[in-house]
Amino acid sequence: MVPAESEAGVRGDVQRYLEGAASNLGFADWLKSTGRDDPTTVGWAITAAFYAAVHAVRAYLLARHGVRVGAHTDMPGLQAQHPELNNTARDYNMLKQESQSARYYLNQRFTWADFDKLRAKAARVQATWRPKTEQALQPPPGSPESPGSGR
Amino acid sequence: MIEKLMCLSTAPLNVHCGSGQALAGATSARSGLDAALRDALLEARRLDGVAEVRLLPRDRRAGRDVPKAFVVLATHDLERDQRVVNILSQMLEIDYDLVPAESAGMIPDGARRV
Repeated sequence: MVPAESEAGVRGDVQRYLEGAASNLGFADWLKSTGRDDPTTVGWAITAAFYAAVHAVRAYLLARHGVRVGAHTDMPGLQAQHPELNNTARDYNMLKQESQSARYYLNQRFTWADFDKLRAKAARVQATWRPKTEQALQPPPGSPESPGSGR
Repeated sequence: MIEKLMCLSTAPLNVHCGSGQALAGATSARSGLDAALRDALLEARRLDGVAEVRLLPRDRRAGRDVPKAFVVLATHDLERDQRVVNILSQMLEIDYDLVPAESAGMIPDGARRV
């Protein structure tokens, strides 16, 4: 499923995206665990949750379609081009908007209860695309690398 | 106080029928928005706690100019925000931001009320 061209590079980048998704969600949780409840900390926790979603989706798009996302502004078009992304588009778009509201407009209204709701969205995005990403990384049946090929 | 001022300043838009249609016509004539986009902006504008929507006719995004909407929020409500997102994310031809009312001063001067 992975494009043959620069396959090792693609696999490496996909793996980094998957790790980035997990580590950003972990970072968000760590920010909450600090016990700080100032708007900056909550806002960056929300932002980290958004980036967990960003990296999960980018991992999938690269592994399954060979698409490298260049900018956040590419996503609306990619969601239209790859309809399966609609499975998580509402969660993804919500995370994007709320994290932007925190960062660019210094929205100080967010609470940890809000974070919990938004984190759940990020976790759903990650849980949706990680298995599909890992599946896309599997070698096609009959290839020398596939299980049971005798190698 | 800000919330109260916002509500007062947008009171005519809370009358959904007549003034909304007149507004839609005026918005379309000014900006050349297509009907679907105009309707989406008005639908977002009517949600509870949305103080106003401002539109910047052209904002550089990914190497092309697109309109950008700024949805000014008088109240904090994630469920309402999700509805705004669901409405406006369907409009590929615009970009948009959610802006708390107290930060409305950060919106570019060129943005006009929808």
